[in-house]
Amino acid sequence: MLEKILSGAEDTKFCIIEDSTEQPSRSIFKLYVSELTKKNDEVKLLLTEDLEENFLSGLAEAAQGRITIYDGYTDSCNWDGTNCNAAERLINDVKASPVGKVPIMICSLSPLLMRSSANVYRLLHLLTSCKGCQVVIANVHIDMHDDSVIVQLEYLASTIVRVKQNMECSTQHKKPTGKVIKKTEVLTIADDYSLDSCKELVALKMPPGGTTVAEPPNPAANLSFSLTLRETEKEARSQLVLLYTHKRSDIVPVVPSGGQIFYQPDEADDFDEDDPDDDLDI
Amino acid sequence: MFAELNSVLDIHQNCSLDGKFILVTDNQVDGNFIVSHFLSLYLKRNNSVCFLAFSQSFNHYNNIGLKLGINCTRSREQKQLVFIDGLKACLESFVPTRSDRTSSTDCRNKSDCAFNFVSEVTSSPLRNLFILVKEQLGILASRNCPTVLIIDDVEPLLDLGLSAADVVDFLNYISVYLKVPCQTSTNCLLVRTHHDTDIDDERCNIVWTHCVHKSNLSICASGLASGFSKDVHGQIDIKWKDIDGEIEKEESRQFKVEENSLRLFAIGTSAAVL
Repeated sequence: MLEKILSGAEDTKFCIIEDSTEQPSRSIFKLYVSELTKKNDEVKLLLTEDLEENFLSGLAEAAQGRITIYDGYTDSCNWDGTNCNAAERLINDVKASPVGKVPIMICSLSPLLMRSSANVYRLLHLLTSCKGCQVVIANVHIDMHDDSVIVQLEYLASTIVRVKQNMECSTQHKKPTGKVIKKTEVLTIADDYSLDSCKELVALKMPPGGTTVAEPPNPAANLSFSLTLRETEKEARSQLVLLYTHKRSDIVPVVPSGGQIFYQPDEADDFDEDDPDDDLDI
Repeated sequence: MFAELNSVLDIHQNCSLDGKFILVTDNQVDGNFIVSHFLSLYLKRNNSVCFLAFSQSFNHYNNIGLKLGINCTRSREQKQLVFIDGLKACLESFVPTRSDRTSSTDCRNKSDCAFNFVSEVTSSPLRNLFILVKEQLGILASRNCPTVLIIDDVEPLLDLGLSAADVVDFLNYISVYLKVPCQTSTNCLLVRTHHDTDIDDERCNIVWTHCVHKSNLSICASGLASGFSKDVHGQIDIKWKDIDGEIEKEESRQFKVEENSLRLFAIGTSAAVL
């Protein structure tokens, strides 16, 4: 995806590179600058948070010669009275550039967003709508802004690159047709910030039909004996006579022998109708 | 100057801190001892020091300096140290007092307008303060020694009502003037700020995040997660970053601040624990 964006195979107008204090994106941003200088005669670079000398250090001399720097850092608020509005100069120069020829890099949007996010959206709109603009690539420190500001920037961006650890980039590209492509790539960057390799990380595909739930282990499997009975075994079991069981034929009917007692109460019997246990509190 | 801290920071006689943006952060513990360490380190190395103080008075640093083997008063008289008492100047811009005429601030007449952001609303509130600092740094530069600016600390500026963008602009201008961080510069900037993880202060977090992005040496003193201990006062995390902001090296130590020294030990190896 990165190579397609840099080569122009994937059409994008505004690409945003998101980083944080844990995952800085400076080297990846320099990689973009370095690769774009190989394919273009000129790359316009708006610097808002670093010295020109610092940014250019490490880049190949050929690359440095093709970068036009707009210094929006050294006198960003016009305190020194140099009266140089780098963003305005950039817009004017892009308007005067030949059609679709100039890539524009902004490092970074964060200082501009801190002053006025509305001005940043205006700047981005003006740059991307210029015929002289090929692509605008900017980085932003997402941990310095509200989520709402980042959401708005992501809405404007056609490509979002999220920098993760170990030079891993998660790219989300919105095609003009509306299709969204998400890819994760691992970059290897050379000493002069040119691209050494770009490998795509492919998520492991699950088998069709979704996830299968593993069956619980069956403790009755692989036993040396059988826990169930066949029909013949059941029949044999039913015919077995246990030793202590009396057969019906063995039961001798008991014939009462001798006399029987019949009791008939007479009048002299002391028969109390009251309940003798009535006084008990049970 | 704490020898053990120098050892962990890999600062020795030939090692230079030139061109460094040093960020000192404290998190639920007082990191003032790190600022005092660097003040004594730079004064002993004969560097020119401009100290912009918003958290303590001159006497505080002078007293601690005497324990660490430096004499701030003498350094000030010898024009090696310029002390801008922001704490006092901010108060005086609110309530003008007789001490205006006999202020201990080195640049009384110019600081009248440098601290006007306290009582006046302007579009660039810290511009005059930057001009004042720049002038003092220019005077120090005539000594032909590496110049250091120490800001202790930036949070009171936010407490005085300034926005995070104002403070970030001020720090940017200072960085540009001193040309830090930069490999070819001989100057140094040390900024102290707070980042208390138990307090959600948005403006303070923005300034701290900006400084983390800019700094190439970050020293963070934090309290122990397990709570207060009389034998281990906290933990110091040190990060060195390269020119692209990637972390080159990390070190962590636990510390105990003593009367005249700082004891550092690997995590979990305090004598009280073993």
